[in-house]
Amino acid sequence: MLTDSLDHRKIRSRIIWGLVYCFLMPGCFEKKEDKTFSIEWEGRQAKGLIIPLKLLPGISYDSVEKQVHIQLKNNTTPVIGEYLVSENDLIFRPLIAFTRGLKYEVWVANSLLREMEIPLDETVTAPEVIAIYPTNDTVPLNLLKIYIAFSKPMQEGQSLNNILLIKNRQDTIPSVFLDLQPELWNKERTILTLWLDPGRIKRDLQPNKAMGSPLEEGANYQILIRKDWRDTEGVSLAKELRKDFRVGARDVLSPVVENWIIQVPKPGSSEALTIYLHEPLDYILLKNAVRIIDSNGNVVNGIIEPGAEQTILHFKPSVAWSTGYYTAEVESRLEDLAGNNLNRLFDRDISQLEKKEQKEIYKKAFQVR
Amino acid sequence: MKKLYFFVVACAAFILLIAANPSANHPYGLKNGTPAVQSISALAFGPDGILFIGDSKSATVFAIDTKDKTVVEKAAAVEVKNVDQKIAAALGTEVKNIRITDIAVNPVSKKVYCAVQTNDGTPVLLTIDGTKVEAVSLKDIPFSNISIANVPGNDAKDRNGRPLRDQSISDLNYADGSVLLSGLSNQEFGSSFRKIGFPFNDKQEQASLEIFHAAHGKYETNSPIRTFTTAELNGKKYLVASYTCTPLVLFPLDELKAGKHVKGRTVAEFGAGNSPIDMVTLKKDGHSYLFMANSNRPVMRINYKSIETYEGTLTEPIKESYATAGVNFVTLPAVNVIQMDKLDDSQVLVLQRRANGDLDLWTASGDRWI
Repeated sequence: MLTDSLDHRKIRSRIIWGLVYCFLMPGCFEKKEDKTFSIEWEGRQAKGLIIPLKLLPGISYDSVEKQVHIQLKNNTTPVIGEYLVSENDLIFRPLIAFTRGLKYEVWVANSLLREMEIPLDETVTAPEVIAIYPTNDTVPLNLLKIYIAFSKPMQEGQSLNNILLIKNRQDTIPSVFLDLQPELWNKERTILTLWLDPGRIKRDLQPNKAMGSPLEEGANYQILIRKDWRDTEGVSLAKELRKDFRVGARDVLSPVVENWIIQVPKPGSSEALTIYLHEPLDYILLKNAVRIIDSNGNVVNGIIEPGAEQTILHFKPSVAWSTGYYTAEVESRLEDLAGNNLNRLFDRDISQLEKKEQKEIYKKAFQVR
Repeated sequence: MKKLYFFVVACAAFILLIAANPSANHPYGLKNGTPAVQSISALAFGPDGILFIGDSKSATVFAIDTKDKTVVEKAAAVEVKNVDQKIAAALGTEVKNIRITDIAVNPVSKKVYCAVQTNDGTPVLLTIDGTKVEAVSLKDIPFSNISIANVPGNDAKDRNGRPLRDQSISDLNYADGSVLLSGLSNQEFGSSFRKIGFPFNDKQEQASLEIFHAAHGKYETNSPIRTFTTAELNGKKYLVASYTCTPLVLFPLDELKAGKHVKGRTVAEFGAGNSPIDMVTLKKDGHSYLFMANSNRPVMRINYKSIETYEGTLTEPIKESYATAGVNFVTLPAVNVIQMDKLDDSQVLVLQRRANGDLDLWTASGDRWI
């Protein structure tokens, strides 16, 4: 105990000298002070705090975490993280990056050593909505889903607070989108999938009967994406976005690969192959469920890009086309805008036997010559 | 002498083999390392303190050994007011920057585990002990993992470079040596239900599930399961699942086999305009009760006996808006319950958004709720 209290006294006096150093010296040697107490950055994230050991005299390196702690200003809870002692510094790495714009305090043995603020990033660019799919001006009455593509990874769990559907420029339509937790994002968190409530789309289901179809044929709608939606760096959208569309007739037919028309480039050219789909199909599935296979059964490398409001598909090969037979292979999960896939309609009568042959892959052959 | 020499060499070789194979020390085929968890959508405990982490972002299920195996029979009631503020402070940030994605209680130690997703996308696994929030380190721990990116059994047919599917995990449970998982694609409209044997091996089974949504049975509902549990009813094991607009559906567990199309039996409709959130089973006086938290309805209590005795299936449409049908249930005075898990045999851990906006973690006793 005696040793402890002696140690404490020692620590306290050293801390006092440390504080004198910290708070008096900056006036004389501001630059030097800046160099002594620094933030460890990883990209734009403040991942750690570097405290020179000379500011922590008398600290026992074996139990640093018992003597030093970091907390939010006006809060007494120590921030969870790990303490590493290097030759000259104590490095604190919080479990999650420090939050920009917040103030933190460094405490040593119950004394405030230093307050610091993680600066806001003035250079950061605001995220933008790149596209809303389908891009069409007219969508079917039984439109099943929309995708929203952003320029940067976005915060999750915010979608239903930041998207509004407005009918005929007057009424905001409630409960149109299915409230899903977790939300359906791609891995990069840049594309969000939103389902229009399937229970309201399917005819005769109770939600459909109680609330009706989410959309009304012949009506005009506007999707409004609020500026408040923030990216993972906490920056809100550069601007609010509105997209108008009109609702057409119900789509009650599955896409038919057999009817697609393929415009084939000449051998030796690297021009894109063009597939005419005759109707707008799902943008993301077009990019993921269609592949070109050569006569040896190998995948032809290249880039698939839907065009003309998702009614055509371009395939640009990595190398020039060779003469020969090819096949466009399409997974049955490819859907049109109403969720009808190659095997079945989204809203089908299951009391009727499926007459259509169920296949996993549909094929359309073509020849380069 | 020669024999003894060979014996010594054989022993040494065996010891070396054991030492060289860290997994030999871990049951369930776990190996030491740092699991690359990218998100935590769902948590569920398995045997012996094994925690399953459903990671939607990497389309992976991780099994980690928490080494939290001290047996506690009766848990102390958990009461943490403004738990989100306490977690945010411990993480050195503000409440608006975090989301609690799941809570799970270790059935061995009764310790509370909590998954948090920060706005910058960092996943965090914490324990809450009293009012103390601590991190669960994922560095150099025994773990194993299995990908759910592809449809089981289809890998061989997949050609090089076929993009992995994104799979959002809506619920995860462990029962009878298997991890059960419901998921939803972010591309095609399709839900999946998987049964993955544990210890993990190459075998996964995926069945397609179909329900009648108390409509007239004419139109299919290929809706994703939002929450589920397992239960033994009349001596047979069932998957008890609930969907958006709240049908309660039973699927015999032994029928959930690879590639099989299983039709569920809808035993209740708990009302449209609602999504089920979590299910917990408690027992009292020899009776089992199912508790279900909901997005737009209070917590419901259903006596499993009512489910056992309900032999029919709902195939008629519900004509009255928001009306219910099928097995009886009781609504409890608990609304806006966001998460639930069983704390012990007689208590339920509840994460609830109070009317004043506070997010509290508290304990409901079975005596009060039953």
